[in-house]
Amino acid sequence: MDQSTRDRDILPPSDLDQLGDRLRAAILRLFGRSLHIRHVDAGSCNACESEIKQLTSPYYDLHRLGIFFTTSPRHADLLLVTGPVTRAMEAPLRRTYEAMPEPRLVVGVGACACSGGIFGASCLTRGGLAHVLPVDVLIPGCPPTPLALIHGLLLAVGRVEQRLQRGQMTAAAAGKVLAGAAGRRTDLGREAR
Amino acid sequence: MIGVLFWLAPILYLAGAVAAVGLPRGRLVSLLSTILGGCAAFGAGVGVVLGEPGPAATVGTGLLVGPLTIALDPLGAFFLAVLGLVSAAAGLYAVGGLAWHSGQWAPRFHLAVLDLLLVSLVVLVSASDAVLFLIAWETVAVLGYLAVNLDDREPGTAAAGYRMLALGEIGTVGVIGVFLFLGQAGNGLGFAALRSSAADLPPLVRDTVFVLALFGFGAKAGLLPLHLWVPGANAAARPHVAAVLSAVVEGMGLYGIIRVTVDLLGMGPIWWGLLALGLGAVTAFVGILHALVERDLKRLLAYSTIENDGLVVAAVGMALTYRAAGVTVLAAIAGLFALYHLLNHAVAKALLFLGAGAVDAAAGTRDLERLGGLVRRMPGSAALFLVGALAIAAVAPFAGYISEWSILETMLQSFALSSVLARLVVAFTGALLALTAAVAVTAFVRVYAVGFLAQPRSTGAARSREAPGAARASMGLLAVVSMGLGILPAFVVTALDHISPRLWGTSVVARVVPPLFTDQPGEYAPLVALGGGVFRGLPVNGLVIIPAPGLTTITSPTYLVLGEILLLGAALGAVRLISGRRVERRGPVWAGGIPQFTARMQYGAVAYSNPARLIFNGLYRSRAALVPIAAAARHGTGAIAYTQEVPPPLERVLDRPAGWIAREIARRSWVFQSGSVNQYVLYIFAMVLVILVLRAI
Amino acid sequence: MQLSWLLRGLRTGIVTTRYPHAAEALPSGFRGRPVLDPTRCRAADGCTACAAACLPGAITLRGMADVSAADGEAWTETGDGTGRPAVRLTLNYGACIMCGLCVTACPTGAMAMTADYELAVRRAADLVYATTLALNEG
Repeated sequence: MDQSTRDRDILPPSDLDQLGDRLRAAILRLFGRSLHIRHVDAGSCNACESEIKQLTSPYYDLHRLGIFFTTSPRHADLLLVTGPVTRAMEAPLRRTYEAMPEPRLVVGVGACACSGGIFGASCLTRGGLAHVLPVDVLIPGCPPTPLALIHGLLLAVGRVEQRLQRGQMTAAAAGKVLAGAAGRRTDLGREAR
Repeated sequence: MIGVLFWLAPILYLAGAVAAVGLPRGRLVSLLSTILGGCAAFGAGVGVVLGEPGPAATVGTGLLVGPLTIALDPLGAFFLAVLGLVSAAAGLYAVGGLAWHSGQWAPRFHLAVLDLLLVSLVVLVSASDAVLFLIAWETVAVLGYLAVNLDDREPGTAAAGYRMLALGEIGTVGVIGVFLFLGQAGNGLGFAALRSSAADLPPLVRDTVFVLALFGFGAKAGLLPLHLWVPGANAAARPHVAAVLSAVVEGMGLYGIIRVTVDLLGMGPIWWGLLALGLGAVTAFVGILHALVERDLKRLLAYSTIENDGLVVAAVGMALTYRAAGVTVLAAIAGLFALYHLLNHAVAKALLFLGAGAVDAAAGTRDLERLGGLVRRMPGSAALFLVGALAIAAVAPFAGYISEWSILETMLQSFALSSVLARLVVAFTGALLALTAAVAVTAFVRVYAVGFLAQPRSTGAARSREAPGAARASMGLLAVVSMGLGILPAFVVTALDHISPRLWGTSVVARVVPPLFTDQPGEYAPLVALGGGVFRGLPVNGLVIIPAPGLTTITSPTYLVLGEILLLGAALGAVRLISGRRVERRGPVWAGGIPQFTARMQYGAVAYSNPARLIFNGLYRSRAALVPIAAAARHGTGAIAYTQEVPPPLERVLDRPAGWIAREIARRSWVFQSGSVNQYVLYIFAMVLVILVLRAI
Repeated sequence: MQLSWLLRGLRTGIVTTRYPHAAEALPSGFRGRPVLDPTRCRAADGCTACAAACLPGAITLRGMADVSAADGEAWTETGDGTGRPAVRLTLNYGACIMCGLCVTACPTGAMAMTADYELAVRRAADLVYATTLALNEG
């Protein structure tokens, strides 16, 4: 399977980027202490949901970071989307986005939201969240571990820095405490050949 | 002046009846005459209540029964005023509604019957002797039956009217018994004579009179156990007739109870009051429970009438209890608010029935499950209906609040009673009435939300249009009166207090409306300091209502409304200031991202009340079933129907046995009606023998 | 019953991770993203093992002649710029499912699995790793 990233289809970055840095910082300061997330499953296989579910477990405890899940988009600051955005879920997803009051953030979770994943763009899927909504943060992985989700959510509100630049990891910025194990190699052992 | 108005009323009604039948285009003339007659009656009633001397007349008959007297006293004048107001509104509604209500009905005879009914009602409230009272009572019964039954367009109308007549006649037996027993003293049958001689009757006779009055007049008022006619009759009657029926004719039952038990009988034992209290409370509770699960809008309003009549009787019972215990002040307060509640209910219920008629004509259905979305299609009628619904649900500051709340407050004063049994009964019935009030709010939230709001559930509702101007004007008139009754209770209490000395022996306006506008507020001085002295100079003592001695409880719908207006205004102004030039983005209602709203996604009437039905199913004895009506195809879905049936209250216990007994008696007395002339001559001969024997003894 | 849970909780102590304020101890087989060591890669010699093994097609190999001018912005030049024919290898972490088949398939061990999981980005373009590998003549 050969797949190209269709940069031409991707929507421009969210309105947050176009604002001045000061205003953006002010908005992110609002969300930095208390963020309410509305999750929408746009055709995902639910592996990402399993990882998202772990975020509220005692081990990862998202609430200690001031992040909560809410059911109503009217109460939400951030829209968390999993799945490649199937055709069937495209309209409900848009309606959810429209129902959110501004300022609002959009985060795509998983390979499917980033690029359509193993489904790609087809007659039934849109091939990634960026083709449907203006996206603030994408979290790759299949599924991304809860640690990666925490990193991605905190990145959305500006509490941590982005590590990946053009496909390569940058060093952790001084003063922003991160614990990424950059550079460590994993021995895959006797994997199936 | 008052006398002129008083005699003008029945004359105008009669003229209306004649015009309806006699003149070729007499409908409009007849209705105008009815409206004017209503205004005259209202004016005369208010005048006599406020202290003008009532008109009186006597017609001598040469018979044993004595002269027929008419003398309007404040109590009767109160009911006359209610009658006048409701009849005027009903007439005004019919002006607009005649061309609008489709169907074959005979409007001329209908209007004539209605006018004659109004005449007999005027006679009934002003009758001052038992014979004229009974004549008017029977006339009201028969004419009421005709008014309900005259057009039997819908199936079940004939049965409903017949049942009304039958149960009314059973009650009439009780009423006749009342006057027969009261007249035993032999001084004649005028009310004055009955009143003065009632104290000398033996206690057993007095108790019998009380029980007969409570149940006999209660049949007309819709009290248990003779209540089964109320829903059917109100549903079958035309809306303006139903308004008169519910507000006035059933009020005549309450008038009878008050007249006999409070006025004529005088002081009695404490169990009288407790019996009335218990009967009223149970009636109210059963009535509102059935209103909660009813789908037909008019039947629902009829059950609500049963509830409110029960509440009035409970308040009267409370007053009788206090009187028997010697606490005259509380008795008078309870009695005053009983009348106040009767007035509030009459106005609001008439408004609701007219509104229900407007809905029925606009949407073509009375079924709550098929209504909806009317608030956008008939906004004026919907708003006026809302005023009536809030008044009936006793939401502050609408009309029902002050009277219902005050009745409950007087019940809370039961520590003034010394009998433990009495206190227990009052406590239990008080709790029952509080529950009734809560269920009433639920029931009317259901009516308005399901019936008027959201989306229409049928094409009829979707195609509904606004009611004609005259219909809306009549509802608007009643709505304004209802709002006035709710917001200005101090004036109403001051007016109604003219009746209290006659009934209870003491005036209570100085207690219930504390004199905050004077220079000696006495123990109420703290209220003046709190701002209760604003608006001095009005012709009332103050604007605060205290339905109990001392400073235990206080309310003031007047100040509440003023406060609400001020606070709302301040809040809106603050919001304007703070929000400034914030951009507004409008979006559709969030409903889970679904693509389309259909009317079937809404709560229906049955669904809304289902939890209550399940909780109280011991009382409802309802049956619900899922019935398959089309078999499922191999891979498809079949069709199932959900049916729910709530039988009318006590129907199995009362209706069927009573019907069975009546039929058995009729069957067995067939032997006495053989048709043989010889047998009938034998009867006459036997009766003559009996009379001769009795004369000889 | 609530008391026994309380005691159990007190005995167990705090189980919550301190990430992002402290390092997280990862298990031994933890998969993050695969990374390419361009010095060991023989795509320039025609090896397409990783791209063929990649399930979602996150790895693409293109001859430099196929590269159009419009794509220029997203691509990084790691070749020596001498103008020799080259192969453009892109690895889109947005499509990567971290299965590790590319690591297993790579004959030289140029592909290796790391434990990097902080991969969230603001722009999709930051998810794409691209490198140019010069073809060796002879």
